[in-house]
Amino acid sequence: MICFYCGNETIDDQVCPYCGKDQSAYRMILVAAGRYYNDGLKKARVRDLSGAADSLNRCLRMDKYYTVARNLLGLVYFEMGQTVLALREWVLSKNLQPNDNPVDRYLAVVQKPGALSRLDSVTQKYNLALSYCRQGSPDLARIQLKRIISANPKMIAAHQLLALILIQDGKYEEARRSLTAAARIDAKNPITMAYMDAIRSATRNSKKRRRKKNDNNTDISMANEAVMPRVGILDVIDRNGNGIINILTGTALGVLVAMFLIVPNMRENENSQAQSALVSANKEAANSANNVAYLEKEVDSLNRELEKYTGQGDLKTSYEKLIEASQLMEDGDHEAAANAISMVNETLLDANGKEIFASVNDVIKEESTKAAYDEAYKEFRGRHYEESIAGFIEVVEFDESYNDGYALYYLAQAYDYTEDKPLAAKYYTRFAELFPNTTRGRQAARKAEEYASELPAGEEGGLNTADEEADVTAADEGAAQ
Amino acid sequence: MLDFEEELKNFTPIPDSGEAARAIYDRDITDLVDILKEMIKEKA
Repeated sequence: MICFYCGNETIDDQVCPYCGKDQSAYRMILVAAGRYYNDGLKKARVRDLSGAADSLNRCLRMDKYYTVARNLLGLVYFEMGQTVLALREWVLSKNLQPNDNPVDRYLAVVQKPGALSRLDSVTQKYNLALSYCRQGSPDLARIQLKRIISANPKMIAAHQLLALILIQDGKYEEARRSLTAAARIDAKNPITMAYMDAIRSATRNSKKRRRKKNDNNTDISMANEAVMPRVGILDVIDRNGNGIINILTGTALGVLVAMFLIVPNMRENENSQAQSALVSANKEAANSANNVAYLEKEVDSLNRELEKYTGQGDLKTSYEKLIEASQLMEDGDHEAAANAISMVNETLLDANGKEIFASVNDVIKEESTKAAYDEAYKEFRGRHYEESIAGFIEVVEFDESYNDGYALYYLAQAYDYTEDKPLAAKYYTRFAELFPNTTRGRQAARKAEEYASELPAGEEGGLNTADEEADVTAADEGAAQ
Repeated sequence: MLDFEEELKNFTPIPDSGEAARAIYDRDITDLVDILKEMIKEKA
């Protein structure tokens, strides 16, 4: 020990042998510093870094030249993530004891290229996270702190701040994990322990509340059970002898209701539905019949239309039949020519075709009229007057003046001989009008007047038998003409 | 239960290496021996 007053080396004496001054106070200070150092070292060895730092600081308050204590304090700070504080202690240690100071080794580590900047980066991130917290953005702070911890797991302050945020969010388990990690670095850190206690307290309260809630639920269910005991249907039946009888009675009543009320109603509905279906089917059948009748009419109409065009064919066919009719006319086969011309559609022909058609048709008509006249006259001469009428009508319809009016005159006589005086008078009148200046014209006029006077108004008379011979003679003359 | 705001006040920004010099100079290294010396000096 060096004398506090004279600076000479002394042995642990109360009084300096060189200067004779009392050194007890100084000696007490050094002993206290040594005790604090030992305490700090012991705590550091059990990872009570906060306690170690506190003891070492006390030691250095006693004796600032306690280099070992200062170096250890720097090491404790460094372990706690307090790089600058560690540097401070190590630099001071180096200044207070420049030679033979083991702090050189620590400083050499810190002064490696990039080491300080890396440590600074972590520090700055932590400060940023802290500012996030203070600005009311704990979510951002939490993210930032997790990054810091992954980069520097020994930073106790980051663990603690993260735990505080998690506790605030009610995430006690995560907070506990973060605090446990912090406790592995600094076992008895007061903040860590306080937060751990807070978590335990909060968890305990939560469990108590949950247990109380469960107890309340149990009480309520027990109370309910007391008020409304669970009773099964079989219990009711067994307890009351009338239960089975009541059930059977109810079942019987149900069956009766079904038989007398529900089943008839269902049958009535079914009958009603069947009747409706029948009416509907009848209506459909009637409609179908109407449709069939309508369609049949349509078919008949279309068939009639088709018949008009049957054989007339198209333009080409019409011209072919026209040519055929013309040739047949030249060949003298008037009947075949008439059949061919009947198949010609006149409307399809051009002007020349229509002209040829008209000429051929006229010839055919004339020929057919002549044939009809000859046939009717033959019947008339054979005194078959009724048979002759149709032929004379056909001739008269074609030409009233045919054969100088003889066809018209014989028609009137045929009606006269068949006692059909009205028609006889009609055709006599017409003949008298057409040929007034002839003998037969005058005779016709006389007979017409006679029948008109004999018969009621609008009716005409007939010829007598005497005149018949004379008329037949006249007919012979007409036929000869 | 913890008061978040109050607890947050316990957290202070950590100085980085740029502040190391000030931290060193601000460090009061006066020890009990210095005080004792001062007291003796005053007595003398």
